[in-house]
This record gives sequence, structure tokens and C-alpha cells, in this order.
Amino acid sequence: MKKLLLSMILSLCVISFAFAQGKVITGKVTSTSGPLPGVSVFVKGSPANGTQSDASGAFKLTVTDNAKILVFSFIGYKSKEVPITGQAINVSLEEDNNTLSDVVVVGYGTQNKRDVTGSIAKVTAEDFKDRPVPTVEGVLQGKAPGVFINSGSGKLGQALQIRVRGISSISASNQPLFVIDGVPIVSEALGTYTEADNPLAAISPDDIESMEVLKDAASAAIYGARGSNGVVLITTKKGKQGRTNIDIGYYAGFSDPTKKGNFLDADQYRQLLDASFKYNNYDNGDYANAAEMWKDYTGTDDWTSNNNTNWVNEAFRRGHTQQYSININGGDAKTRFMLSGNYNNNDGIIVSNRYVRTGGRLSLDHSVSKILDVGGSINISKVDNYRIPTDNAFSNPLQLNALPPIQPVRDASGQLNGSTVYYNSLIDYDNGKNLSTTYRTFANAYASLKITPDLVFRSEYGFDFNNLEEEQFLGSKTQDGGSTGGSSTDYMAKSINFNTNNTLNYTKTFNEKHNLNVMAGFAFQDTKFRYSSVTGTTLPSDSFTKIASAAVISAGESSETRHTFVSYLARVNYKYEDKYLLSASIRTDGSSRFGVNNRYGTFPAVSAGWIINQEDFLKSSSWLSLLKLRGSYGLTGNAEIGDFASRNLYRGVNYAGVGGTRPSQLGDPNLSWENTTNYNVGLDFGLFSDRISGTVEYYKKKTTDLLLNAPIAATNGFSSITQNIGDMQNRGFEFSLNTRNFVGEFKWSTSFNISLNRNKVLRLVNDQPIYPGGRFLGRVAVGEPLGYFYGKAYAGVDPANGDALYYVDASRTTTTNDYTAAQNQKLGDPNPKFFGGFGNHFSFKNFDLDVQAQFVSGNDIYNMAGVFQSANGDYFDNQTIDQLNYWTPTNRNTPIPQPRFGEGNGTSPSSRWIQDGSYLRIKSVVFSYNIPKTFANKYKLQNVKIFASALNLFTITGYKGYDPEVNTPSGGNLQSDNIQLGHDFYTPPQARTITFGVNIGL
Amino acid sequence: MKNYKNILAGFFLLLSISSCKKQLEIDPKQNIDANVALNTTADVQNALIGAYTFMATGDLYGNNLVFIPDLYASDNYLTWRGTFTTYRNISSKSIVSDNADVRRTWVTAYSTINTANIVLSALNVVSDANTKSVIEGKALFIRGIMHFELVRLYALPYDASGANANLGVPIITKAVKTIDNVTNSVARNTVAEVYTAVENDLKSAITKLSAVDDQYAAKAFLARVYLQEGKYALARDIANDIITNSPYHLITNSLEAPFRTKNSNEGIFEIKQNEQSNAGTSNDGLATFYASYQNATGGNVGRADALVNTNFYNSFEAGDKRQTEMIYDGTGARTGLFTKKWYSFYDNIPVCRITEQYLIRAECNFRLGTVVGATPASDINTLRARAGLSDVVPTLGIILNEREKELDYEGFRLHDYKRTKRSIGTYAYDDPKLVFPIPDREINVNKALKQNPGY
Repeated sequence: MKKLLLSMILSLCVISFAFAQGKVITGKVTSTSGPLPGVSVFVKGSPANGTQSDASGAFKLTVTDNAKILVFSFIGYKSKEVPITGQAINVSLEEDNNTLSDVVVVGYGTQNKRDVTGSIAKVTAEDFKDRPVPTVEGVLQGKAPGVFINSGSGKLGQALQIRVRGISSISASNQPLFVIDGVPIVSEALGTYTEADNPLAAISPDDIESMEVLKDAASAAIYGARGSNGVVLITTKKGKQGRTNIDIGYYAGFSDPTKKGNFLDADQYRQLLDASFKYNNYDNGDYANAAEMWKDYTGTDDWTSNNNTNWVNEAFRRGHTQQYSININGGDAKTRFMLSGNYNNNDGIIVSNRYVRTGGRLSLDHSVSKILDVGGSINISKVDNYRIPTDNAFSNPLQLNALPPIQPVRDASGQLNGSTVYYNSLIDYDNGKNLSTTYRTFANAYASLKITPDLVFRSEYGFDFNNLEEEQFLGSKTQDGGSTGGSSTDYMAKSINFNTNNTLNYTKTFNEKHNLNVMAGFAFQDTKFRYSSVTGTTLPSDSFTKIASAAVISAGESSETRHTFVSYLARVNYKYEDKYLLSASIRTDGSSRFGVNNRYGTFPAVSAGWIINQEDFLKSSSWLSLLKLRGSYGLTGNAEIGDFASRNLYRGVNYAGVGGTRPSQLGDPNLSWENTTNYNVGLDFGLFSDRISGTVEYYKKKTTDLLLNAPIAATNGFSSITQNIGDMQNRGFEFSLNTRNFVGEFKWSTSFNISLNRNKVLRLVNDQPIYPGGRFLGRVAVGEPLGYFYGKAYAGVDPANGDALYYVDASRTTTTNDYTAAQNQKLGDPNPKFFGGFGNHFSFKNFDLDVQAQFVSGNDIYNMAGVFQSANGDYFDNQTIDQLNYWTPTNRNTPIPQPRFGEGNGTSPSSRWIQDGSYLRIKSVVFSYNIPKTFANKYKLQNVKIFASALNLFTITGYKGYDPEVNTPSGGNLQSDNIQLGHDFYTPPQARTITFGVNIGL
Repeated sequence: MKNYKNILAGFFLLLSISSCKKQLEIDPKQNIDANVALNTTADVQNALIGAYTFMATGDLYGNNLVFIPDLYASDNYLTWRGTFTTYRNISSKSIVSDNADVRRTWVTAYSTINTANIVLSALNVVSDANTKSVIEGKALFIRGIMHFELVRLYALPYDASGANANLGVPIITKAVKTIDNVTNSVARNTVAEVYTAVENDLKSAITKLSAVDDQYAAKAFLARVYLQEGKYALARDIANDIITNSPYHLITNSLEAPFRTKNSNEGIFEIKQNEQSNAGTSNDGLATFYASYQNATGGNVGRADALVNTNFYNSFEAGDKRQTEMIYDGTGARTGLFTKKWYSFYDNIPVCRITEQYLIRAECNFRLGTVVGATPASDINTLRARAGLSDVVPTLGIILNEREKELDYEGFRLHDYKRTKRSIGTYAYDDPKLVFPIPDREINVNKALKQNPGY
């Protein structure tokens, strides 16, 4: 296959051109702010015949006698075409502010923004430069309408939860498809942690030019069975024709938690716990007082000590971050290149959490001839992530807040205290190591061949290698390693992803009225995962941390999985008189993941647009610069169903040295992708030369054939089967408005967007709700939004006796103190009612100020840790400060039940710990100053910018936990992660990061 | 541009490449398809091993089936100090119907039963009659004991004098191999029906296993079943058969050896564990919850969550080695008293020891006034002598007390108290709070299942 292509390409490479001698043209390029260096100047139709303006803006170019027009082009300025009339041509370029004529990257191509009939959100490098963002997709938060982002946790290097236009799957992944320079990348987490690694952590945000989010079927159906969750197209920076620019950047700063919990101090703790002990008369008189009871239960004398430990503070520290980056780019008409390198070191706000990224990138584009372009890029990176354990582990430092303040951090001998009632996880960092290292390479190459002036053949090959190594050592003093005499684990995971796209693109204008673009193509993707791990225990001493020294090899395994996609795709775009737009696309996807009875799926889409202001009756309007109505309809799929979910499988097992097999999965041979039908209507408008512009959109998505781990009676020997049952819908509304309020010397522009999404489950397996229960409240039921909270409704405290009360039923009229007698009912909804962002950009002379706010409203959060930490002193866990207001005979009207040690008075999961999770956050503030060019130039510098920047500067919220931007993964399977939204279980808060930096252009 | 047509042709040729179909045929690497899983004798034996691995998990004998009967009947016996709320609630009898331990034991027990049924349904590929008989016997044994464990935990107790028409658990005898076999409408059989099914499976197992020592595992369980049913004569005769004819015998010089030595002479049926295959070393497994000491490198072994209650400790006769040698002062994660029976993560778990058969024979002989095999006094004093105690003239109370001391923390207490109609704390032996709920998830998917009273 590849050979055939190569020979085809090579046979066409042997075409060369010759130019006749001609005349010399000289001139100067300027802008309103002075001479413009680096502007490319070339003859229209022969880009190879060109040059660039020098530092004073001057240029000199020899052109053929028949050359008619010179083109002047420079990034950030409108290109200008000037007829060649004499020997000297002086040109003034205008700055390009007209965003509506931007080029938008679409699936397998690009399109003029004005011609787009689908729904696409775009973010460019301008939107995130100078911000200390750890990974690039976080920038979409509050910026891209319809894209809901929840960082989930303040741990470094963690994957963000990204939902494009709601949640469209219950059991399969809801993360969008990420495509970097045309190559769909692997975004499955390779690691062993419940909280997934961020798949984009390997790419420096500085290397990214733009991100487009494809939201509706018209834009995403070209990705067929993987389009339902939206598609994020990431385009990296490329070399640009012009002088060689060297940009050097540095920033450094510090970070602190956005908020810390407020827990009892030692005296308060003793007061509450004594009240709790006393209820039962110190275990029915077994003990004379609290000190005795404490000693017997915990084996320590801490009750009578003077310790007053703030365990919350022990989990945190001031974080530090710094980054160095360099970018060299340039080239001529024939060859463009970009070379970049970066180093980012982030010592996190949580003890022992550290993240270091080192990476480099080379991008090369070469025009072999007038008809053939080749190029490619390679990105290599290494990420060292010193991790902290999953939220639901005693060794998670946030769980330190459960430790009694009367217990000391260190014992009398100065060693970390190992006799705390719960594990003192600081021991893990002192006596252990936990490092995840990721080596990732993205490489791609392309060749683009103009078969005729209208017909282009493009072939792309992409590789994405990801190699993860987890190295964990737990010493003899740690909880999990101590019992086995020290434990050391090495875990290796690799993903090997190969992708090829081959497209033919035909573009032609007929009669100057009919614009036609036809694309047809073929794509193939092969993704393999390989894993291996070894664990050794019983190490001679803590000086030995590698498995080579382990006396017992306690576990070892290797495994592999793979899937493929074979795809055929086609698209037609038609435009009539710049007024009427019509587009249709189709993709057929075959995948090894689908059951034998359903191997291929077809995903069509159609869309249309009407640029109303081009009509004669509006054309003359001076105030209306754009009015476009567009609509789309189409099908997309979700194929994230696991590689072999349709099969009946047996796995190998070990019974103390004897091998065996056992059934591991019951499969459905009809299993296929999930289908989503998308409708979208939108209106784009621009007023007063685009001083005011915006978009209003409405969409409706109906997902059918939902992949469900259909629960079956466990008496079958299995508890679920993955099947295509179930329907769900998302409807939503998006509005965005951009205004340029002042455009003179003082510039002020504003952007605002707001999105609403309403999710509703329409059908389930026998309409049977999915309700894992246990600690969790999330439930899936017909007629309700996914993951709504369901359980017992807390009704406060019986003033008469201090009993916790629950509502008997959903009418909430009568109460009971019997938890089991209370009926389960709807308690809340973790899905936001609306979310969005609000940004302002000011500039005056050399000063720039950018402030971006982001908001989420109407969502509920269930603080699942409340069962332990806000449980009126039911056990030894330190309590939140509000628990001091507990019921006593003299304090009868309170929501906090009477403390009763170990009796569970009001401590079972209930609405007691559900709170409103709305928040408004000043997401980023960047203040920068460009040192005057004249001054910079004196030192041979092109430009120098200094800046100060803040992330998560402050947050307004009513949520009482650490941080409202939270989502503790359930730790179960994908389905329970999808369902258990808005749960908070000892999850670290976000960091507030302040940085100062400088960018120097040489 | 002459190649233009060639390229187009080539492109469309590429589009129609049929070899791509092959690219979509991928087989899993570390699993095998069910079609190739049960085609030979070795395959069927492998699946049988699979059933044992289910039983070895913490869901079943690796922890819960041994631990919970003692935890549930913890009053004046076992002190739960751990943080796992599921266990805390079992200990305090405040179980909710979605208790994760209640759920996991149910789910895995039925997975085990299904695996046994799959083995039974695949026997036709086993050509050797003897091999076939052994495989069949073991599968029936597994199916029988799983139903027995379920009915004891999830249903009101068997009453020797009653009709036992209370709801038991569903009896499952059909293998589920494909989606077409799935059924979500199995009702609970009565307690009487379940016990009958258990007896039948164990009796068939004994017949099929008559050529191998595994017959005694089935017999030990059948004796246990009969005792639970108050069928003392039947229980006594099987116990006598095991003591007389089996290769298993008391280890007279060590109380600890049956727990430390793998496949000891006392262990009629053991769950096998080793470094690579065990119920858990940090969050699950008997040693995880019961142990509290420091190992050679100073690390804490065990979570020390389950302590020997001081009242129970003090109830031993002076000099009883089962107190002095088998209970120790914790030095690990918690101080206090701990049983030495569950001490190391990688020990085998003796589910049936020969001592139980002595106790069954003694109790049944005493109740029936018979002396089959030996007198009750002889059996009881054999065990007392090993524990360093002098002879006694047994009464029923003494025999039951001896049983409690000999088999402490081995998963007998709840079932023995129910059998002998003794109250557990303030709960009468047949209090619904001493019966697990049917797991919520099960009630939700199977409308034919009725919940237990009190949930």
C-alpha cells in the first residue's frame, strides 16, 4: 500500500521549473507603527519567486517580465496584492482584526470561517500565551461555548473531564476524540491510578497554534464512530516564511491551595469526642473517662497530651513552578521549519506531588515543486510525575485531615508518628517513592500533491508512541509495604498507535458563482497497548528499593490488547454566490471492537447555511457585517466500548501454583457503537464592522443504542453484560458575544459566553435504574438527568432527643429516625444548569491586561467524605468545625445530631452532605508590558515582554468543601465514573498560581 | 499530468482493498474465547480450578465466609476496631441492603456456582471415566457448599422442628455460557429446598469422589450440614467415618501447626494461598484484619481491626493453650489481644479441620445417648488433652463450650448460635437482623426475588 503511494508520488516529482530573467523591484513595507521586517513578498501565482523585507522593512526582488502582481503577506496583517507598475513599490499593511474571515481547521481539511455550516469552537495561542497552564485543553474552560470542563482535582498531571455538549454515554468514554495534526491520538490512560493521566500532558502549550472543537454532526460526523463526544483538533505551530525568529520565554512563580478545610483543634476535638463517648457512658461503664476509653481504643496516651496538630496543613505546602522555553522558526518559500524546546518544573501544593516536563519539537515543511509539498513533525517529551495515591486511599495526603489533632506528627524520638488512628500518610513520602514517567513521541509526515490545479491528493502518516513507567517503592514503615517487609513495583505500559489518512480534494469555482469542494478519503488506524508489571516484597532493608533485591516476587504479569479502525469518508461543500452554503459528509467505520454481527457503521451528515447579509436587500446595510443562519443534521457514533466487549471470554487464573481458567465476561455478538442523532441550528452575526459579533445556537442530540453494562441477576454467574440498550438526549443552547468596546489607543474588548445543557435519560435496560449505591448517590433513571443524586433525604435533628431524622418519603411531610425506613428519593443534580465565561482584554500603549472569568451554576456536590468528617463525632475522625454545633439538651435546634460514639446517628449516606456547587472563578489574569521596540532594538532584540500572571486568582462559591471544581473518580469502571458525578472524597483542591515571566524575541 | 488517471485509479483501488477486512479480525491476548475454553479434559479441569480461585477470594473463604460469622456474632467475642463501615455495620447489626460485603459475597458465590455448573455441563468432553467422576464430584461439592453458605447467611435459620418454608436462596443448577442462557427471574427457593439440594449435591459428590481423598471434604461439609439441620445421627455417622477412615488426624504436638503448615494432617479442606495467590495483604484477607505484629524489618503486619474480646479471652480455663498459645498481645497496628489462627497472608486457610469432626461426633453421640466410634468424653478429652487441660465429664454445655474454644474465629459462631437457638447479644437467634439482606442490586434486576424481613 505504502509502496504504491510512494511510487505515485515520486513519479510526479520530476517536474521542474525555470524562470526567465526579468526586472528588479525594490520598496519598503510599513504599518501604522513603523517599518515591518519579515514580510514575505512574492509574485502572485509563484510563491517560490519571493523574498522578505529586512529590519528596515526594505525588500528587493527580481521578477519575470510577465509578473503582474506582488503579494505582501505577514502574520497578523491583512495580505495585500499590488499590481507591478514600476520599479519601486511602497506598501503599508493593515492589521488584521477581522476574526470572521479566519481559517478554521475542520476534519481532513480547512475551511473559511465564513463558509462553515457546522458548529465549531476555536481557541488560539493568543488565548493561552503567558499563562502557566499545565496542559492545553484546560484553556477551553470558560472559552468554548458548549464545552464543559472540570479539572476534577488539584493533583498535577491529571486528566480533565471534558464534556462537549453534555454527556452522551453511560458506560463508554465521554471524553472527546483528540486529533493532533490529523492524527487521532491515544487518550486512554495507561496508568494504574484511578485518576487518569492527562493524555495531553506530553505537549507543551507553547507548541500549539490552535484548537478547534467540533461540536455538531456537520463537523464531527466525518470522524464517524468516534465523533459523538465531539472532536478536539489540535494544530501545532509550523515554521513560517520570513526571517528566523528566536523566542525565549521564562516564567516562575508559586502556588497555594484555593482553599483549605477548617477542622477542630485539640480542645474542640476533645470536647466533641467526650460528648460522643459519654452518650454511651464510656462503653456502658467499661471505662471511667474519655482518656481511658481513648487509650484502650487507640493504644495511645494522646488524650492527655498537649498536642495540637493541624493535620490539614501537613498535607499542603507552597508550590513552586518554573518554565523555560525556546522557539526558533523561519524559512523561505521552499522550506519552513520550527524548532522548540521546553522545560517545566512544578512542585505541587500537595506534599510530594511534583511534575516535570521536558520536551522538544521539530516541524519541517518543504515545497519540492510547484505541485508537491512534503513535511512532517516530531514531538518528543518526558514527563516525570511524582504522584500521590488515589483519593480513596488512606495514603492520600488529603485524608490526613481525618487524624485527631491530639495526635502528634512525630513521636518523641522524632520519627513520623506511626500510632495514629488512621495511617499517617506522611510516612509514605518519607519511606517510599512514587514516580510515573511518561515518554511520548508524536510524529507525522505528509505529502500533498496537486494532480491538477483543482485536485489535490494528500497522504498522511502518524505515529503516537506512549511509554509509561510507574515506579513505586513502599518501605518497611509504610502501611501497605510494611506488612510484607517492603514492597517494590515496576509497571510498564506502552501504547503504539499508527494512523494513515489518504484524501483527494477537488476544489473548483464554476462561473464565478458556484464554489465546489469535494473530498474523499480512506483512513486506517491500528492501536496496540502492552502492559507488564512486577512486584517484589521482603526487601533486606529500606536502602534496597529495586525488585532485584526482593526475596519474594509476589506478582508479575504482562498483557496486551489492540483494536483497529478501517474508515472510508467523503464530503461535499457547495457555495453559491457567497450566499448559500450546502454541505454533506459520510463516513463508514469498521472496527475490530464491534461484534461480528455489526462490524461496519455508516455516519452521514448534511448541513446548510444562508449568509443573509449578502442578499440584495441587506447588502447595502452599513451596520450589518454578517448575518448567517445555518443548520445541520447527522449521525455520529461512540466506539469507546472496550476492545473485546462483544465476546464471551475466559481468563487464566492461578490457584496457589496451579493454573486454571474461569469465565470473565459474557458478551453480546450484536454489540456495536452508540448512535447519536444531532440537530443544530445557529445564527452568526456581526454588527458595525464586527465591533459586535456573536453566535446563538440550539442543538438537540439523541443517543440511541447506549452501551450499557446491563446489570443481570448475579445468580447467572455474571453481574452484567455490555449491550446496546438505552436512549438519552441532550438539548442545549449556546450564546457567545464578542465586542470591541474601544478600538483607539486604549483598546478594550470583551467576550462572553454561556451554555445550557439539559440531559435526560430516555430508556434503560427494562427501564431499570442503575444505582450502585454504597457510598455513592449517583443514579441513572429514565426521565432524569444522568447521575442525579438519589438516596435518603436528611430531615435534620429531632429537637426532643438529638436523633438524626430522615424523610419517610418524597412528599417530605413525615420524618423517621430509622434510616432503613426512609424511602430513597431524588436529592439533587450534579449537572450544572448553565456555565460559561466572561473575558476582558485591555491594552494601552505597551500595556496589556487580560482577565478571564469562568462560572458554573446550579450543580449540586455531594461531599462523600462528610460521612466521616462531618458526622457529629461518630468515630475518631477529626470533624469539620461546624460539627461543634451538635445537639445537646440545651442546644436543641440544630442540624447536627447528638454525638453518639460508633452508633451512626445520622452518618449514613444521605442528602445531609449535598451542597450547591455553583462557583464563579477568576480563572486567569495576565498583565504584560512590552518594552518599547526602539529600546529593545538597541540591544539587538526584536521584542521584550514582561508579564505577571495568575491562575485561579479567586473563587466565589457557597460550597463548604475544599474546592467546588471537583470530581472524585469512583474507582470502579468507566460506567461508575460516568455516573458518580459531583462527588467529593478527600480530593485535593486546585492551585492558585501566581507567576512572573519574560519573553524575549531575538 | 498523464499519471492523473493512474493516481485516481490507484486511489480507488486502495479504497476497495478487501484485505482490510482481515485488519478487523483481532483476538484477545490474555483471554480466550469461550468457544475454545472447554474442548478438552484439560480445559474442563482448568475451569474447575477457576471455581476454586473464586472461593479463595476475600468475597468467600479468603475472608468473608470465615470472618463474617464471627464478626456478625461479635458480642463478647470479637471487637471490631476497623474503619471499614461495611464490617462495622455487620458487627453492630445495622446492615443496609447495599452493604458492599453483603453484595460481593452473594455475587461471587453465584459466580462460583455458575463455574461449577459450566464444568458439569462440559463433562462430555472428558473421556476417561475416573477423571470424569472426580471432576464431576468436585464440581458438585463446590456447588453444594456454596448454596449452603448462602442459605446460612441470607435466610432465616433452619429449624430442625419446623417446615423451613421460609425463603432461602435461589438454587442454580443450569450453566450460563452465553447471553441466551441469561435469566433475570429466578425466585428464592425455600430453606428446606436449599438444604435438600445441598445434601443431594454433597451426597452425589461423595459417590463420585469415592476413589480420592476429596471425598472427605464433601463428607466434612455434609456432616456440618446435617448438624445444622439437627440430623444428629447422620452427622455423627459421617463424622465417625471421617475420623475412622480418612487419612486426616489430629496433630497432637502443636495447636498452631494446622494454620501454619500447608495441607497439614488436620486439614480436610483447605483454601490454598501463596505469595502470588492470596486474598489480600492490605485491604482484604483474614490476616489483614486479624493480625497485629511487626515483621523482621519492623513493618506492621495486618490492620489489627479484629481483636479478641477480653471477656472471651477471660472465659478460657486457666492453662488452656488455646488461650495462651493461640492468642497473643498485638504489637503491630494496634495493641490488644489477637488470634494467632490468621497470622500470615500466605498461609492456607483450613476450612474443615478434623477437630470439628470430633466435636460433631461428641455432640451428636451425647444428644442421642450413643457411643458410635467413641464416647463423648473420649472425644472431648482428646481435644482438651491437646490443649493442656485435664479430663472432664461432658455435658452439652461443656461440649458446646469446648467447640467454641476449639473453633474460635474459624467462622462457626453465628451458625452455632443459631443452630442451638442461643441469643447473640440482645438479638434472639432468629432475629431478622441476624440475616443478611438480599443485595439491593439483585432485588433491582430480579423482580422475582423477595427481600428479607427487616430490610
